[in-house]
Amino acid sequence: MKNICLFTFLMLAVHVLFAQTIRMSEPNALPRKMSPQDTLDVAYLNIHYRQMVREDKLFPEELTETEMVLQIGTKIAKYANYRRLLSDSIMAEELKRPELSTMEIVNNSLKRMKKAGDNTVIVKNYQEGQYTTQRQIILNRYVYTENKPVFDWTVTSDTLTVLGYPCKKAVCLFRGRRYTAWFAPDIPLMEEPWKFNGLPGLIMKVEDVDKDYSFEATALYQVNWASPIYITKMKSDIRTTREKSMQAEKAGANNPEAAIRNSGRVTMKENESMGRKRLPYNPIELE
Amino acid sequence: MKRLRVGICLLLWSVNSIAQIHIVCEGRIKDAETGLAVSDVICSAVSLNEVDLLAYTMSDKDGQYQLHFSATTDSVLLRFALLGYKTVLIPIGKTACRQDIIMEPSRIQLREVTVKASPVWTKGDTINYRVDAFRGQQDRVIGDVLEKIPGLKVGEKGTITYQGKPINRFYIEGMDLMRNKYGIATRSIPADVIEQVQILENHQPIKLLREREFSEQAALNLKLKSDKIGQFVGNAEAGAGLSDRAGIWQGKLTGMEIMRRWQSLFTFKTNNIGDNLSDELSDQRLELADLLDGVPSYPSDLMEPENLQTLPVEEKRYMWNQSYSATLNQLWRVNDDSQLRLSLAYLKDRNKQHIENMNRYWLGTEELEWNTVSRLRDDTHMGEAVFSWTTNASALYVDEELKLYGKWDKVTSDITGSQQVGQHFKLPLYLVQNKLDLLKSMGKKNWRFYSFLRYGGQPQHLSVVADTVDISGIGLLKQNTNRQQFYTLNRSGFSWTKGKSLFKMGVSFTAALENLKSGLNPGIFETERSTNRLGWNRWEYGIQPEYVLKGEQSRLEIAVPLQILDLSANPHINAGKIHYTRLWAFPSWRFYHTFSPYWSSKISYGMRKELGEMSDFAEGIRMVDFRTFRRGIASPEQRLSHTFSVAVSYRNPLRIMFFNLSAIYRLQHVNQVSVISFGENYTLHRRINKNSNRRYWIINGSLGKYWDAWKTNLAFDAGYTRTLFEQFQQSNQWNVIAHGLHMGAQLDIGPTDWSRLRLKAEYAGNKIETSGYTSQWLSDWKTRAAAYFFPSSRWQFALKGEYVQNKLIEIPDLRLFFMDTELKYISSYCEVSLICGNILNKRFYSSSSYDGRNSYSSSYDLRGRSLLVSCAFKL
Repeated sequence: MKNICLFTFLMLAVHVLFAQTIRMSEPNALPRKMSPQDTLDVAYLNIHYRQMVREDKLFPEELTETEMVLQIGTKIAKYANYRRLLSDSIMAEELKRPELSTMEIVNNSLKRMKKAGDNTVIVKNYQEGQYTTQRQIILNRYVYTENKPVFDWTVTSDTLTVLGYPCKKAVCLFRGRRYTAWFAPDIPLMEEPWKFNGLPGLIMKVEDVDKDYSFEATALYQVNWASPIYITKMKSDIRTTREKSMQAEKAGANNPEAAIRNSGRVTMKENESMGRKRLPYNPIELE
Repeated sequence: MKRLRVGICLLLWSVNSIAQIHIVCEGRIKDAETGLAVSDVICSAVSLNEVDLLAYTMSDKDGQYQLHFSATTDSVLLRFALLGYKTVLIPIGKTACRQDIIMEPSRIQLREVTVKASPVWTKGDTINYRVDAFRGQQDRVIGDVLEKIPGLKVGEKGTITYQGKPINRFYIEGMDLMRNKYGIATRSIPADVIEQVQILENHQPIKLLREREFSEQAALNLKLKSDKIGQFVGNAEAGAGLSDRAGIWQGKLTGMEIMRRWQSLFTFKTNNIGDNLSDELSDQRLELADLLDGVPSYPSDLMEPENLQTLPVEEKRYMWNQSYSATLNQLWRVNDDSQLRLSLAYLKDRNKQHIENMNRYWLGTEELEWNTVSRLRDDTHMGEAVFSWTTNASALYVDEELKLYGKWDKVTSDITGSQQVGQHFKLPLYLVQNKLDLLKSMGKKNWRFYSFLRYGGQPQHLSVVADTVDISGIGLLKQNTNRQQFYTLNRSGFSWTKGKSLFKMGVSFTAALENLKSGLNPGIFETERSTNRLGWNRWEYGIQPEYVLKGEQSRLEIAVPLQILDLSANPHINAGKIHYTRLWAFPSWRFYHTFSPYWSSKISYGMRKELGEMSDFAEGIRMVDFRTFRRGIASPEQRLSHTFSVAVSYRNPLRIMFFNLSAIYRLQHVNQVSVISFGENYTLHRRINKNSNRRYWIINGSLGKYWDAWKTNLAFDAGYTRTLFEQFQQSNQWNVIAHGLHMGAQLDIGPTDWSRLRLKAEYAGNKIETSGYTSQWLSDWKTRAAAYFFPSSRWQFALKGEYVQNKLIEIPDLRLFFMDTELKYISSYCEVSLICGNILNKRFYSSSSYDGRNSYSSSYDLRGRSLLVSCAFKL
């Protein structure tokens, strides 16, 4: 069953990528409820990261900035878009207000999420050693679970202070990119932004040598209120493997029109063509 | 042998002492309170000083850990840490060990930290300024914020310069909505809708030329907050009040909508409180040299009414205006590369000024004193429509612009004093002009075609009614002057790159066809002709070879344009037609060097030759105001100038510090000079053929620095000018050295959340040296201070003071202190302001100047005490 969250995702993707006639369900026909959520844990610590991504190698000066948050619970950690988190909680409140139409709620959400950046969600179950990734590729959301990846860090003697915390330097090669990380031994956590893990302290700053991807802590605070760590589930999610998700991302970038047509979610006129033939492709995992 | 044994023992001991020993430590970790295993504890082996990390691991779900490491020192520390538990440190020896650990729960104690986005950061050649870091609560429009951004300077007329050079584009969300009328945007777009101001350094606006042709200028881009894109942003403001002479009012209505496919900005403004609207409608300079861009500035008026003076006090204190302006700027993005743009502007402006002058003219052996009291009224209507099409693709650039411009300026002044005079100017100017810039990539070469056409007319008129006109005895004079102009500049050329070299070769054709008719009725100089009928045809044919050598850190540009000038003028006098042909070359070179990402420099030389104004060719007398007459000479004026300049600039966005220093020397040689003669009731400027040199030395520097603490912004600028020239008055000639010095400092600081202080101090000094006379420094000081208080989110209070001091030659130093206050209440619907102006009711300003022989003293009426209540709404 389609729901508001799905609609929001679709509209975002459509708005960002294309400008042609795409026929979809009437928003008011959508039920007034959020996507199903599984609450996995409760966060006791939040760390915000400024995530900068060079999406297109052809335009090296253009970096996409996203404010991400790493929610740390006792069993689960989640790394996701902070504005998405806020928007979802606002939407949940708006749904309780009958005077707001579904269309208004969806529009408000769209406005909030405009240029919000990366929508990837990574949920880390560190007790079971499994990482689940949700990744939006064109109109579909791909979900895959993998074993906790192993980072072969080499700790060096270099130091740096980030957010007032003394940090040590560590380097490693992971899935085709060579990273330099600065971790804080004074914050004994092994769960880190994105899929990083395995350092004896919280990563405060990490970037690859090409500076295509960088993550830097901008805030760190304890959560003294009930802040659930949840994962949304949609029937339309495509459950797959990491390798197949990467293939889908590459194929979507090379031929977004085909990806849309094949998504089965929208109907485009036969003679209608997209404005953009290709999308930038510079994934964080190269292998 | 004994020594050898001792040596071997020592060696073995030392080897043993530095040998690495492999150690294994293992154990189980339990919770002190529950006795349960604790998983995910970070177990690490570190050196005794906790600097070197030897090994680390994590306890498993049974609380088990095992650490393998090699140690070179006698003892190491085992460190067990987990958020929510006290960290345990255990020293161990160099042997394998088993350590079971009991961890004591404790409150998580972390220093909670948050960093806001940096106020300034860079990405490539783009410097991003976070507007919220620079915006004070009192700042209404984005222009208020731009003034506080280090590295940027906003001039008196609104021109924005970055590191001393004017910006070449003003973008909103990457699109050029405003072109060179960006003053409308800076004074209308609310500051709170802008997220970032971006400076695009070395911005080449033509995509096709990026990576090929260097630009030393920067562009400015406004990035809106994401929720404001696609939203209508509108503001309305209306206010009314009382001043000492009449009622006062102001009204503003602005609206903006920035979409992905189109942008729109409209404004309607009116006021009579001294807010100058004409400045924001004026064309801002986008190129370093307008003539190089091929768009000459508008022709100047043929009459010279007494100008509305600019005084070193805030403009609102001396401007008596009634102004109305309406603008519409609309841009449609036809596709990713093409934009269609329409710009309409209309201004109705009435300004008044009451001036008392006391001038002393040196006549050789005696002085002539001339006193007037002038009531000046200037009514201007200005209308402009611009249509443009731009395609800026990677292989093609087209910029087509059609402009229609009309200005109808009427100036009336009633003068009493030494003479009773009424004068009435009509100074219309109308223009139609078209500009086409076409650039196409043809393989490795680029072809460019540029064409500019302008047709304009200036049928201008002056009538003077005087009680006594000694020259003629007639009390009514009329001067009619009509100038028609057709001007075209066409250039075509290729550019191509070979290795590190860029070659350009172009040809050009320029035609300026003008005619001037003027008549003074009655002719009051018996020996002089009082009519002109002048035809002026100037043709120029040129070639422009240019060579550019590009290095990693340096760049050399050399150009040697050659030009054949052919002038044919018919002054309709006995001498008949005048024909003048010359071959001119204008060599120039520029050398840029970048020492580091922070330091860069430029050295340049340029030679220039140009002809004087066509109106200076007219030999008949022309009256330009009631007592000033001009007479040209039917011989072309040539101006030859050599300009040397050196500049160094420093920009460090990390430290948010910007600095630039430039020095210019210019030698100008002219073959004509203007001789001034004073009579009882007239001043005559007569051109004669005479070689003369002028020398200019100019040094300018500026420094901008921002500190995050207290949001402090400090800007400092200073300049010195020395000019050496010859002055001709009556039948005398003498050398003059004029010195000018100016210094300015600006500090903006917010010591607390509820207060903000702004201080601006400026000094300007002038000094004259002539044969046998050296003046003292004549100085102007002006200091403005404003303190803003924000006792709550709803209330704002501002206290502003302005102190002006000038040192005059005739009368004691002038010292004036002005004070204004503003109280503002901000509700969720509107902002209500109560503004008290000039509380101390200062009514006059006076100043004087001296040019080595003549002195000019003036006194001006200022606006008195006023009270204005205004209400602003967001639409």
